[in-house]
Amino acid sequence: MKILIVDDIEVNLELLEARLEGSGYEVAYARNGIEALDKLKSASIDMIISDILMPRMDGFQLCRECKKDDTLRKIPFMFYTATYTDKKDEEFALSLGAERFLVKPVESNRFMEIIDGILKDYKKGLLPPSEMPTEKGKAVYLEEYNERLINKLEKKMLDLESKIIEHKLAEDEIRKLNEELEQRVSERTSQLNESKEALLNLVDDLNIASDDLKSANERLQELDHLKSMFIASMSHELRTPLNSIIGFTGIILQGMTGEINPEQRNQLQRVYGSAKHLLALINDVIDISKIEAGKFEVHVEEFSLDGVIREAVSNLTPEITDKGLDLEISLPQDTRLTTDRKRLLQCVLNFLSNAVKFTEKGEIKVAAHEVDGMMEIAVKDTGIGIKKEDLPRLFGSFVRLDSALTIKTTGTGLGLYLTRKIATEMLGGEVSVKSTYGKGSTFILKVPKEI
Amino acid sequence: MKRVLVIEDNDDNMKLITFILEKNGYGTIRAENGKTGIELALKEKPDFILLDIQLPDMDGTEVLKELRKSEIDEEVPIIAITSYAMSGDRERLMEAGCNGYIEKPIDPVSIINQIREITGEKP
Repeated sequence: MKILIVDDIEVNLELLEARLEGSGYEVAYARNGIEALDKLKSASIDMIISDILMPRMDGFQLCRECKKDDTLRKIPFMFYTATYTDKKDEEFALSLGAERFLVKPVESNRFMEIIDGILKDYKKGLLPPSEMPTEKGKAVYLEEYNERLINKLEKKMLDLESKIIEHKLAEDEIRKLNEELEQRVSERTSQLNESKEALLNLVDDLNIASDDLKSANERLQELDHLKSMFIASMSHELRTPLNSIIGFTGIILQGMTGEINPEQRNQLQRVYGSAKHLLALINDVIDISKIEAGKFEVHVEEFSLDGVIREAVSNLTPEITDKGLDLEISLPQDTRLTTDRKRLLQCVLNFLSNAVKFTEKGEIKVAAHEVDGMMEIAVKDTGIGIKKEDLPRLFGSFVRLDSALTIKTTGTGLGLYLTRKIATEMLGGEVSVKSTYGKGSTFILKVPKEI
Repeated sequence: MKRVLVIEDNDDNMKLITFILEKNGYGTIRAENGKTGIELALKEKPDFILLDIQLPDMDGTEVLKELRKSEIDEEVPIIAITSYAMSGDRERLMEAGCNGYIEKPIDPVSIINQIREITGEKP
């Protein structure tokens, strides 16, 4: 079945075409009455659906032409229009012989039902006899036709006018929106300017703060320098009288000034020991403050490992012998190191004196070996050992762990802290410890063979 | 009897050192500052010199250099007395012409051995 759609508006054609094709009809189309008549002559058409207002030949005239024609008269003719408002339009259309007059919009299913119904009736020949429309006479027709057309045009004009008004309103709306937009842009711009101003102020503030910090930093550096000066001069002032105490008690203890009785010896030994302890404490504090202030000097020289270990051991030989401890030294042969000898000695001496202090029986073992250019020196004892929970704070400052020997032994609580500082910050190495509580400890110093 | 010039500003130290030296059979000449030390060194011609490197009037290293420039026999040993010397002081002092150094605090027993080791004397 083929349906001819007549409409001058492309969109209407497309919509209708899609709807009809979707329901299985073939579709032909024309943009006005003249074109429609041509199509009707050249193709077999089963139904005509036409708009009313079109250029060149409108729908009314097309309908009239069709119904005047003997062949075309029997093809169902349906008006489908949106511009209808007047009831008389339908009457006029039907008086021209049109089968149906539909006003847009019609719901899709209903529309197809109407089409299907008309075509079914058409096929069955149920449509009213296709006669020439009742001629009301040319004058009457023209009069009606003109009236209809004028109505339609008026309606169109009204539509157009309302569209123009709508447009104007829309334009106003757009203008208003534009103004609002401009307003917002200018507000935003001024906000941004304010933000910029605030930022610039912030930068100024930051610059001032930075200057403050700089001068605070300078003051701190001055203070730090003063602190270093203070420690340097205090250390001299503190040590001078101590040296005197140690020296003279030493002379008396040696019996250089004559015989002293055992009680005097015992008491003088306490003075001597306390003075030496105080001196060690002062020296440790000075070393630490120098390292912490970054004011230390590393004096690199080449020396034999053996010599350093022997020197450390010989310093503690009296105590080792007194306690009756065994001593084992195991070193690689002919090992030479290039680093700060005095500082290395200080570290080894510290480990060793701790080992002697906290070991009552058994042995102390000093072993060294080379690992990847590093010299690992381990001091192992069979002493009291360290509890697992105490290990992490062992290398901190002023740490003295409680033990049965704490009271008996002297210590500054700075030894291991200083050893760690020297090993890490001056010798570029590290320290570590392994221990089993009650069984003994191993302290390990690992330093580069060449600094 | 060997004669030792002790250049030391601290009275206690002076007393301590000279006491130990005299107890060990040395004769002592005392100077309280660098300038006097140099003068006495030239005048008294001691067998060796003990020099405290922290003096009120002159830096110990300067005194050392002056002494080495003077007419004193270059064979005369000069021993520096230092206070808890850093490793660097030792190098500096050796370069300036001293033969060895003794660290404070002075140990009454070992100081004599240290001196003898440096001067090469037999005990």
